[in-house]
Amino acid sequence: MGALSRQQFFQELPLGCLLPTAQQGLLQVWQLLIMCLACRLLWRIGRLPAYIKHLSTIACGFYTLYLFFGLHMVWVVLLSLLCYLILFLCRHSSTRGPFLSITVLIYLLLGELHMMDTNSWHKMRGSQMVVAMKAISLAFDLDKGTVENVPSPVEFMGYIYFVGTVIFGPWISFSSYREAVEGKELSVSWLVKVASSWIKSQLCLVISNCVAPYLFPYFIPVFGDKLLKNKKRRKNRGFVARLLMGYEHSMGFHFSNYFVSYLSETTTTLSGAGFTDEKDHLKWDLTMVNPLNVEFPRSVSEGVISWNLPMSQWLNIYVFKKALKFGTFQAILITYTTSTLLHGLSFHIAAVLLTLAFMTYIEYELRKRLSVILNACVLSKRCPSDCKHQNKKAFWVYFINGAFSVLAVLHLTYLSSVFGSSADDIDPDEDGMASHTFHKWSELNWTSHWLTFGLWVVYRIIM
Amino acid sequence: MWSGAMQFLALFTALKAACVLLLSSSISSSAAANSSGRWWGIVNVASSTNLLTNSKNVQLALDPSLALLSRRQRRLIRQNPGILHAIVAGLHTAIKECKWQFRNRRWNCPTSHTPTVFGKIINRGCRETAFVFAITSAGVTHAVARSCSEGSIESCTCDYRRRGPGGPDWHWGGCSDNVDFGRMFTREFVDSSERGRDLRYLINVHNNEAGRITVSSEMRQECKCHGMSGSCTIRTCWMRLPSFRTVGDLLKDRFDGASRVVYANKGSNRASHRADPRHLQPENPAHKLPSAQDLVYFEKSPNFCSYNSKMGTLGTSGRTCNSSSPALDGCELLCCGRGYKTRIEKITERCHCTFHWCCHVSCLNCTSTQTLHQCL
Repeated sequence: MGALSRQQFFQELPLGCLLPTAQQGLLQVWQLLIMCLACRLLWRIGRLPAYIKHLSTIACGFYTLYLFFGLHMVWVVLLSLLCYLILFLCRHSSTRGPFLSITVLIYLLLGELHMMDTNSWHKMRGSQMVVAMKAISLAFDLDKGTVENVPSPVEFMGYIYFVGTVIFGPWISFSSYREAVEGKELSVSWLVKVASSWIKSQLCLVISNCVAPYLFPYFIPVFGDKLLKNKKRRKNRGFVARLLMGYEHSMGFHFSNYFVSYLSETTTTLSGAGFTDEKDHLKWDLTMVNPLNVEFPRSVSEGVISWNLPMSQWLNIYVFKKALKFGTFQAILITYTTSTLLHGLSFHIAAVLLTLAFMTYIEYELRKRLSVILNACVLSKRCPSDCKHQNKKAFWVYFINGAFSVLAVLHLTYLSSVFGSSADDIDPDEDGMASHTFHKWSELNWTSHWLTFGLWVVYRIIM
Repeated sequence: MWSGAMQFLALFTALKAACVLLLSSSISSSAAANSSGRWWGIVNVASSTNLLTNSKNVQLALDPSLALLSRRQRRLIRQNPGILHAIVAGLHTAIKECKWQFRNRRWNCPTSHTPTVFGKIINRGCRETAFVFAITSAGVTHAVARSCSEGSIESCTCDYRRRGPGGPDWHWGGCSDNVDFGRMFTREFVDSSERGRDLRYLINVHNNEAGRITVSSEMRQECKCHGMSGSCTIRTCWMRLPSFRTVGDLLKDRFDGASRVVYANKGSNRASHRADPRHLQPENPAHKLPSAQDLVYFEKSPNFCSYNSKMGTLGTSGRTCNSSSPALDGCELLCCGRGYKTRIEKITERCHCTFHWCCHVSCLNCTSTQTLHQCL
C-alpha cells in the first residue's frame, strides 16, 4: 500500500482518525461518568446513613466493573474478599501489612500463572492493581494506627469499589475515601476541575491515536518526504531513524497513559474524591500525572515519579520507606520488584522496571557524587531554594543538567518503545513478549543499557 | 412523476440545462438498446443544479435525477434517505480517479455533460469499459461506507458487528466504516441497471463486483490499547477504508492484467445465476479462470487515435504530450505517429515568497517560458 502524501494525509486525518477516536473515547466511558455523577449526587442529597452511601458506591462499582470486564470481574471480587478475610483473621496482630502483601502477591502470581487465560487477566490488571494497593495500604495504616480499627465489611468494600477509582485508579488512601463519603458541596471549582481533566484526557487520546504514530513522516518532516516513500525502507534505515520511530512509539504510549490518568482524574473528582482541605476551603487538586516532567524530565527518576504520582506516592510510603532499613540500593530494587509484581508478571514490564531500577540508582548516585565534587546543583532532584551548593546558576551547571535531561529522554524513549502502539502486534504469550522486547531493544543497539553501564563505570572512577 | 418533475423544473429558470438534459435522456433511453450505467447520469444533474445539497427536502431533490434511474434504484434511494449525496460524491471521486489514472494514455477517461457520462465506450466490451464499471462501483461503495460511519445516511450507522478479536464478549468494539452496507447497497443499486443474461451482462456485473471487492479487501483495522501501564482496559479500534487513490492504483493494475473472456456455453442456461463467474471462461483455454477481483473484457480496445463518432472515441489530436518520454505519454505514442506542434508559452507565477512575522507573505512575480507539445 502506498503511503499518502502529506496533503492527502491531513485531509484524511479529521474524518479518518480524529472523529472515530473522539467518538469512541466518549462512547466507552459515558456510562462510567454517569455512574460517578449519580453516586456523587446521591451522597449529596439528604442525610443518608453511612452504610447506604457505601452500598450505593459498591453497587455503582459493581455495575461499572461488569460493564468493562463482564463476568471476569469475579476475580476482582475474589481478591477483595480475600483481603477482607485476611484483615479480619489478623485483627489482633500487628503485622497485618506484610502478611496481607504476601497474600495479595501470591494471589496475583497464581492468577498470572494458572487461574485464567492471559488475555482477560491482563485486561483487568489495572483494577486488580488498584484493589491490591488499597488493601495493602489499609493494612499498613491499621498497623501504624492511622486507621484505628478494622472497618466494617460494607465500609471496606465501599473503599475498594469506590466508583471513581475502580476501573482506572488511582490509588486513594482510606482516609481520603472517608472524607469523600461525607459528600462535599458541589462547587464551580469542582466542575472546572472535572471539565478540564476530561478535556485534557480527550486531547491526549487523540494525540496518542492520531498524532503520535505519524509524528515524523507527517507532523515534523525531519527527513522530508523520504520516509513517506516506502514503509519497508524505514526498517533498514540508520540508527537515528530507528530512534525516531522508537520515539513515535513511546510518545503514543506516553499519551495513552496521560489519557488514562486524566480520565481517572475525571472520574475520581466527579465522584467526589481527590481534594485537599485548606482551612475552610476545598481545593480539588488531584494530580495523577505530570506530562511536562515526563516529556522533558530533569532526570529519569523524575520522569518515573511523574508517570503516575499516586502510585509513586504509594510505593514511596508503603514500600520504599519500609525497605530503607535494608540499604538504599536494596530498597530501590524491592520497590521496583513490588511494582513489577503489581503490574502483573509480564516480561516486558519486568524488564523495563528492573532496568529503571538500575538506571535511577546509578543516575542518583552519580549526580550526588558530582554535586559534591563540583559543589553544584546537579542532583537528580531539584535543589531546594536554601541548599548549600555554591554553584547554582552557572552556565556549566545548566549544561550538565541539560545533558542529563537529554539522556533521560533517550532512556525513556528506549524503554517505552517496547510497549507497542498497536494492540495487534502484541502477542499475549510470554515468549512472544520476551522476543518482542529483545527485538525492539536490539533494534536500538541496546543503547540505554550500554549508557547506563558507562555511567556506572564513570561513577566508580570518581567515587 | 414526469409531469411533476417538469412542473417543478419550470419554476427554476436557471435549470434550462437540466431540462434539456432530461429531454435528451428520454430520447436516449428509447434509443439506447441497453440501460447499462444509465444511473451515471445523475452526476451531471447533481452538478448542474444545486438541489442535492438540500438533503432535508429529499423528495424535492430527487425529482430531476429520478428520471435517469430505474424504478428499483428510485426505491432504494427513497428507502435510504441521505444516500443520494453519497452516490453522487462517490461518482465524482470515481471519475476524478479515472481521469488521473489515465491522464497519460490515449484514452484519458473523457466524460461529458450528457446523461451517458462516459460516452459510447460503455456499450463496448473492452478493457476501458471494464475499468469504468469497476471504478464507479468502487467509488460508490467507498462513499456509501464512509457516509455510514459519518452518520449521514439514516438507515445505517457505524458497523458494530465488527468487534475486536475477543469474540462476542469483547465489550468495546469500535466504530468502523460500514463497508458491508456499502457493498450490499452498491450491489443492489449498481447491478440493477444491468439487464439480460448475455456476455455483456455477465462481464459488467463481474467488473462491478471486482471494484467492490477491491474496496473491502483493502480495509484494515487499526487498534490501540489504553489502560494502566499498557493494560488493555479500553481498546479503540476502527476499520479504515483505503484512500481512494489506493483503490484506483489497484484497479489500474487489474486493468493492465485484465483477462479476455468468452461465454461458457455449458448445457442449459435456464438456471443461470446472476453474475456466476463460472459462466465466463478465458478466451485462451490455457489461461486460468479470472478471479473475482480481476477485470474481464471480451473485445479488443480501439486504438483511440482518431475521432470516430461510431465508436465514440475522441482521438488524441490537441492533447499535450511529453516529447522526451518514450512511454505512453510520449509524443510518439500518444500522437499515433502523426507528429506534434510545439508552442512556447509565457507563464507568470508567484515565486520567492517570504513569510513575515506576523502574518503576511510577500512574493515576486516570475515569468518563465514553457514549451508545450500538442498532438496534431
